[in-house]
Amino acid sequence: MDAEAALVAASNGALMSNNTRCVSFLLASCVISGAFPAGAQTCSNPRNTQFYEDHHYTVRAVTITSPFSFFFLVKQRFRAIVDGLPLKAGDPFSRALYDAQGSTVEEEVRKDSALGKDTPAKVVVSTGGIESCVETGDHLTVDIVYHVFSTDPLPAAVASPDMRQAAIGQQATAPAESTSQPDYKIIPKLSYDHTRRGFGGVYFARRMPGGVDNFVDLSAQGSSSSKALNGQVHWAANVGKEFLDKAEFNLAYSYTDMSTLSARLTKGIALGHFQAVSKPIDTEPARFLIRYGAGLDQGNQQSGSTSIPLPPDTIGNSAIGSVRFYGGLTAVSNHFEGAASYGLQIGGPGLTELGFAKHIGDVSFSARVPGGSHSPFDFTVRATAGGITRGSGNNRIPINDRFFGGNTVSAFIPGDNWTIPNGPLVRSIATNRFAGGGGFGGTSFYSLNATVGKVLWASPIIPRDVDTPDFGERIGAAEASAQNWFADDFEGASPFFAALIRDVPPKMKSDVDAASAEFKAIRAASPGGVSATLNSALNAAEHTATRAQQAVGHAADPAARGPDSMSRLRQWIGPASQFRALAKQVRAIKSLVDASAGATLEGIAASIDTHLKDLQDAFKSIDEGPERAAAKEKARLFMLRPRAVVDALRFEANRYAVSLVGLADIGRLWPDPLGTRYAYGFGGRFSLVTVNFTLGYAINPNPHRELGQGRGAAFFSITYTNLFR
Amino acid sequence: MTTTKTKLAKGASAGTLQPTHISVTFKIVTPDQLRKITFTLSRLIDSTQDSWSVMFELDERADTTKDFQLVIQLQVDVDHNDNANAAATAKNGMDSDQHAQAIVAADTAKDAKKGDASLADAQSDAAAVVSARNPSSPS
Repeated sequence: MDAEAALVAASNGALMSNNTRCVSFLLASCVISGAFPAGAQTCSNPRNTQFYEDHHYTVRAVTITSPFSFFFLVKQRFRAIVDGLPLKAGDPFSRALYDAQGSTVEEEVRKDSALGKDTPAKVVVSTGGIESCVETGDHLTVDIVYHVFSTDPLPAAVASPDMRQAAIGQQATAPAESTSQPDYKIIPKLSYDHTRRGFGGVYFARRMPGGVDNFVDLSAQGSSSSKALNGQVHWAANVGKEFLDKAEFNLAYSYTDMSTLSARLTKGIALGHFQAVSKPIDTEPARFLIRYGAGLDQGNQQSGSTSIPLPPDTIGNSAIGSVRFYGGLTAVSNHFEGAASYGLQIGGPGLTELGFAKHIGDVSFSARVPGGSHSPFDFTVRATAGGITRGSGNNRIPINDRFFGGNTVSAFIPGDNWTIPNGPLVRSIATNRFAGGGGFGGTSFYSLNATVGKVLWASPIIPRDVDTPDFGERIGAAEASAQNWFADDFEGASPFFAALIRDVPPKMKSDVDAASAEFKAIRAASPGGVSATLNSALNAAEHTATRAQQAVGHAADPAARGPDSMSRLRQWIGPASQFRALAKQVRAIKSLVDASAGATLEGIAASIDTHLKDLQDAFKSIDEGPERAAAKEKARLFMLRPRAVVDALRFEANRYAVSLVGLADIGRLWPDPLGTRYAYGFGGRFSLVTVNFTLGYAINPNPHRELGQGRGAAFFSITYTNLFR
Repeated sequence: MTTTKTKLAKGASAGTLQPTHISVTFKIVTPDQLRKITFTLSRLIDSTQDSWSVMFELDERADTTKDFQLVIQLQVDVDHNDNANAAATAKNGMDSDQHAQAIVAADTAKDAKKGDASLADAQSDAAAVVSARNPSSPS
């Protein structure tokens, strides 16, 4: 079956007749089941739309569907497009309007970059047709359905490692915010924790002038047993250097008030922080990101009462101050993600009394096995350890800087997206109920957390019966186009082409100049005017010569990009080349003029042929040589991530999935005579595309009632699976 | 209102959409972020016609901090003889020769905008993106 026949067959549904409801590439969107009413009826004349106008059908519904309709903003855009179409639900069906609005939908989607403005490569596939025709009874109706696939939303679905925390915390709005840049946002918060009890609050952020990433935010949360207040002014700058791609500055105030077993920890500090992120470093196995920062904070702290017998190295009520440094590396691949972070805090009771050093190391690794499947096992392992050392002399550690632990722990850098746990995480123990030794926290710790999950049931974003060979073919075409385009571009940057661009245009210009001069001479040789036939041939050739001169000008333009000029030269040896056309026209004129002029024209045509042959040979040599191979390899690497994103969409992404989850934690604080704490438990996880909501119960096998520990603790977490890396 | 009863069309199955409009768009922004070339292949299929058309659009900007400005947009019907190339492009993607032709078509579109080339020249070069497909490229 040749290509055209195959396409026609596919379009007719003949290749996908068994269990496929949709026909081509974008019919991935059939997953949006709303487009297909229950008991959908067939249309007897799907390709003869005039039939439905002639028989006075009414439009029952007009729908645009897409695999990305789960983005609220995408759905909203489609709704707006539908509202602007000439044929609406309830209108009499009109073939002319129906034909016209097919291209309107395509154009609107193509132009709409709401979720991916100016991405390097974009592919849009749009298919439209009629379906669910009601062809009996008094109310004859037809549904108009457009299936749209655009790569625009993909970047919005990709959370870079530095943004993953935002994607966890605000999963419903993060993709839209990444491109729509709202001026402000308000998020209510409501949570429960055994130590803090039920607590509620609100988060408010307002964008500031001067940049989309500059904002001020405030959050306040409270309960009967705790309070938290944070305010922050945040500036960001895109520097664009390899190791300083983006810089962020924060000025913040943080106030917390929370109980432990034996004390009430209150802290108010002002912070100034600088954070930086490198450009992603792409290698074949993984994408790496380096992050580092430093900060300064100063404030005061209390422990609730001056009469509490604190450990001798600890101070309860005092000023508090520190400098912090931290750095980390994240590696993200198709099916695993790893991160390693280190934080150093040098602190004490005020910036003038820095007397202790806190070190925290944190390593995490997560993987999906088997990769590329809709129902994988997933593993996450996290190991964290920390210690506080005191300097010589009578230096004491503010109690708020000691390590506490439980099923939630504070962050080493308050307010930062990159989380370094500031204590041991054991999910069977309530917040701040970990510590022994009188409940005043420890000076060193470790914790090891393991979570394993298995998807039991999933609904793929692109259903299996849609992801047919035809569907894959269209995706392959789009990817091949982009990859080949980049290969040409990289090849065009080769120094070899610089020589061609320097040498070839002058030669072609010389040929075209000679042809133009000869055309003038032919006209001049006939003062009474040339014959109509010759005049017509000369007019055509002169026009071609003008266009050829313009082509020379474009190729030789020193302001033009080298790779584009290389492509221009490549076009000169192609079937639409102005030079080939000129040589042909010159030879046609040769037969209409005298022998002398004919010989001159033949010489010009031969010269053009020779120069084009030389150019063709040069391209052949380069295309078959190491330059092309290197350019293709570079383009392959360049497209690894985009291909991985599309593959993740096809082979891994689920609209929703239900999983069974198991966990095991080990944690230890020192000093603590009660030893190591454990947790094991099970739960269920509901996943919406990339966001996982996990609810379960972690058992504490050896509860210490004297520390306020119970038999276990319910846990709820929101995590993010970085599918679109 | 006329009540019509018809048999199921051959090849049609319940719930199967048989599209009458198919389009594939390739948009490339050059690495210097100053030029955007959009190439759309559209196919219209019904009981009376099966035709391909090409939309070619060039957008440019002088500064990457500014929005792209449309230079020209061309709509061209594909010669029936090029249907195989159009189908091969939709199936396998654009090859290097088509990429080269697209660059030249962009130049001609810009020349036409300035009056240095005719609209017919621009349309011809845009349509040639399909016909420029190398015979040795996958079909």
